[in-house]
Amino acid sequence: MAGLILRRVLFSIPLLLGVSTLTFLLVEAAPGKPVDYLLGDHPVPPETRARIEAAYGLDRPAWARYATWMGRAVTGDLGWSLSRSRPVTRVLADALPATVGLAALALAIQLVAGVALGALHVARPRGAADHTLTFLGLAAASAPPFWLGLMAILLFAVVVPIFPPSSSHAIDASSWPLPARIADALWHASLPALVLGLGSAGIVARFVRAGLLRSLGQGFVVAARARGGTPARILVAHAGPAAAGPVITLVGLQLPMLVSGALVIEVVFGWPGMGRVAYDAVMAQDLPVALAAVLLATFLVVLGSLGADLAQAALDPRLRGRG
Amino acid sequence: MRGFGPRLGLAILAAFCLLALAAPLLPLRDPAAQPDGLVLRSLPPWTRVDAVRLRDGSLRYAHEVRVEADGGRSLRRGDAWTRIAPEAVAQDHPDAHPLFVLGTDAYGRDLASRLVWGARVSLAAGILAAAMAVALGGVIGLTAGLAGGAVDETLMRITDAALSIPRLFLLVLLAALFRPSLGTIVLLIGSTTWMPAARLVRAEAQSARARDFVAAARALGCSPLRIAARHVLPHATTVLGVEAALRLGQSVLVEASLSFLGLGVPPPLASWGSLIADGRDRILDAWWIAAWPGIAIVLVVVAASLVADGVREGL
Repeated sequence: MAGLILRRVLFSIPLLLGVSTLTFLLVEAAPGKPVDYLLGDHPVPPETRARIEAAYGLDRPAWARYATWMGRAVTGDLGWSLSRSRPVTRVLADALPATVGLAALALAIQLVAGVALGALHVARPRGAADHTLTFLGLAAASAPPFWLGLMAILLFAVVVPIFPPSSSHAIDASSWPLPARIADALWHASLPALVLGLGSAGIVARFVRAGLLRSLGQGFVVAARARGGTPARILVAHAGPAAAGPVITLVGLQLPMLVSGALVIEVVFGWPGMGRVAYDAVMAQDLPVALAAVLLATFLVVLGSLGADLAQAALDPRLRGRG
Repeated sequence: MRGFGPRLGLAILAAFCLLALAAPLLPLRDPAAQPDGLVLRSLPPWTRVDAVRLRDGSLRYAHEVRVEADGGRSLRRGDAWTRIAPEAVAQDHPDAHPLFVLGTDAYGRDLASRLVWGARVSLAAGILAAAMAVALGGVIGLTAGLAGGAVDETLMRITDAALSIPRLFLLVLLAALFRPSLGTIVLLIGSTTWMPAARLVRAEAQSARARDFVAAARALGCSPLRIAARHVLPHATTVLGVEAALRLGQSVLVEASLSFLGLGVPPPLASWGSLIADGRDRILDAWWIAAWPGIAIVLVVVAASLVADGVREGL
């Protein structure tokens, strides 16, 4: 287990280095200079321009700036947000919990719905409910998440006002006691998380179904049935854990999509997470924040896949021995 | 293509492509024109509007039309009445009741023609980006699978790394850096979605490499390029076909996300994603503006995955 964690962490270092180099190079290759963004269209004498460039260190060669940026990034200093006039680390640290919370809730919804759907198919194959839900799963996975979000706001927050339409908390929430505030945050997160989670629940269901069907035909299930196990017990205690492996792998592989989906969902629902921050930063040409957001989002995915690997190892005794 | 699903998918894709290609020939209103921001604003689907045809063939829209005794017309737009002289009115069929099948947007633009013209942008971006992703992934996968050793190891590490970057975060950054046009959008999407194709082709190349016919070709003195193109690539056509179909749908989705965020193809071109963005602020009073392009995207993506199923099960 320790070996697995160590290997993952070691793999994530060159990955993050690579991503940071790549994004830095792309920023360099892009037309337009940072100074232009700072100055806007206003005509400025060349001396002023040179002074601003020198103040931000923009007159130094690209490799030197990259080395400085990297050196600072390692110590946790990701630069200064131009649009928010705060350290980038602060901006992202404030937004991180909202994104992690939203993604975790969406992941839970995706797993619960996916497993329920897949199990329903195995328990009652080719029924009307199974067909309808499979079709809905395919349609939901094929819809743009931001569009599902808009339609969900329209249907479930306006036409049938069940959920709050947007934002992350009630207006007067800051004066509430902590438990009420947490409940309020969860309540506001529920609709975006449902949209984000149910969007890919159909794909999870397909893997659950395939895994269950495969493991139901295997010896240990036949043996359990011969010992007189009820169908429910066989599904939950025997076939289920054996089918979980590929599902966890799938969820791990889908993490980048989940984080990407969170970006648009946050924009649609006005959710104050990293996606919103990255989007606002891009719109304001605030490159330090946008760059750091790409890095942090990648790091989240790496952490998530580590979690998936650990869950896999916990479920499958055969994987535990291996480094 | 066998089976109902794949055929249906192919039919949907073909229908959308035909509509997109034929858009200039179809009797559609100008997708960018705003002929009457007052009368035509946010009309619900299947609305008929009163209008008077003028002698030059153009239409004047109105909330109410009154025929005057001298053959002229009085038009009411909002609270204001205007008169049109009899000699300005068209001689035959002066009174028209044009139908807006899918309704109009907040500027009075016809949504049906915006949807069809938007299909050109969305499908072009989707098809070209998918082609690029499959070509790029194919080359990388073939190289990795055939070269083996350190080359393979390096290329696959890069693939793994590229797979774990949340694509939209990177694309949003890139779209902001490089001025978006159809070309750059295709390049950006294609260069961030080649990884699945690379993995699939690599696996096929590895299994083909171990087979006798590749050894025979090598013994005959075929160049590595010829072996890759003539002996190995044909084995990967099915996986590439499946991946191309899936990628087409996914690219339409990615392009829609970028356009929705205002980082896609710039106006006056409008893709389905930008149409949804148009409808975002009007979602409460004019749901149809955002609904149609979303439904079109769902149809295309579902159709693409049905076609992918068909290719997987054999043409």
